[in-house]
Amino acid sequence: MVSAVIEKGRQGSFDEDLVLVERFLNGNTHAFEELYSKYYEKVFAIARGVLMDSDEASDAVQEVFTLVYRHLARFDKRSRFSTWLFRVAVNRSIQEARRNRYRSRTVALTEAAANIAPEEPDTTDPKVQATMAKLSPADRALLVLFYWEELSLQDIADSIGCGVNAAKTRLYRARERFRLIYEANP
Amino acid sequence: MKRVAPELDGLMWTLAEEGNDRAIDEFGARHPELRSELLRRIAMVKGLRGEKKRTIEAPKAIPRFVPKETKTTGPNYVVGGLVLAALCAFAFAVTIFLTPSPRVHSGDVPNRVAPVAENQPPPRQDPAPQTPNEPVVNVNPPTPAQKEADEKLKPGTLKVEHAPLLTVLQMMADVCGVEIIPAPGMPNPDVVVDYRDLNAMQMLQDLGKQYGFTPMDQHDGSIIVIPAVEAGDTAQNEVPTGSNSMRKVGG
Repeated sequence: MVSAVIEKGRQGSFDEDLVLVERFLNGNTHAFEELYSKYYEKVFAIARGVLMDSDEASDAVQEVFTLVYRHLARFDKRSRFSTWLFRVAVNRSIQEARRNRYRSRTVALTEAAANIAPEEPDTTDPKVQATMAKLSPADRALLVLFYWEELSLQDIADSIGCGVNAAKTRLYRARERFRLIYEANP
Repeated sequence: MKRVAPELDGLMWTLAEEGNDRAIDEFGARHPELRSELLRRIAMVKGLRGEKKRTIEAPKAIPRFVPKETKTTGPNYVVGGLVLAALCAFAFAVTIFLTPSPRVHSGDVPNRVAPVAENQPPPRQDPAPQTPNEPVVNVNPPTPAQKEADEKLKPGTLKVEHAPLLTVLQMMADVCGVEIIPAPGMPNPDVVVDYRDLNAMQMLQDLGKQYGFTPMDQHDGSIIVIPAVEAGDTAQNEVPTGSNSMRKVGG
């Protein structure tokens, strides 16, 4: 019991990300590169899941980190850095997806086929991508945070800027919309 | 799909997401009619999770971070501002177009003669603010300040032909250097005045007899005009007829 409390206190008092943030705010640009390297893949996954295009996702990631680079001083440190970063990533990706909504998007089938990991063929489902493409960017963001990044409801709520109950409801609805479209697909 | 009870629906999602084979089998045994639905959801969740591995390439070299130039949004603001300005101009034009201009009938236009001010008194100094609701009867003997104000009732000359009464009162106030406060309900007929070397009170008393109002000198440089006359005080015979007829209020 005591050790659990100590462990909890230890975890609560030390946050590597916050140290990096402080170092960056004190002028150490190398600290930001560490944050960038640490979170690049996660931010890319969010952007890729929402935008459904690797090139656009790459651009979005650069924009997200540029925003963070310029406005890191606004991070109030009440939440975790990762949560704040994901929030920026989700918002930016949704914004970009809405901007591109009417732009014809042609996903190269060869590219998609090449990305399939051959050792795990049973985990892929061509219907999933088609279904995801029909969802709204906000719904995609929720599913990505939950199923790809496996964030908790609290973290999802923080990432999309709402309460836990609202996040739970939104996630439920997004999942239902996904199911309806998925099952309607032949 | 047949509608599933909310608690079973939630339970199926939980089972599909957790992937506990034993729990899945138990659920299938308890609810055989939902077994196929549960399997579909399991496939759906697996597909969703597998989509990440399928679409995101194995991490190669992370591209070097170079802060991008901030997208200039100036043109959008400029366009927005121009649109807003155009809307404002349009709204203004519509308002001007739809607002009826004051109708001017040739017969109604007063043939005004600019008043000639003679011996105009010096400008008054900070007269006490008066409202029409304040008592209009002043029974106290005049104070030195009131006497000073009374001295300001200097004579003047005013000649106006066919102008609204309230306009004439304003002209009179300007000429005689007093403040004339018409009470609510004052009639506003067209009047003709021609006064020479009279002060404001004298002019008002004469006008009041004709048009049914009473001036009350407040002894502070202001005169309140109330639309009422004492019985027998009105010179009914002097009331102009036709369009200039008086609307007697009270009294």
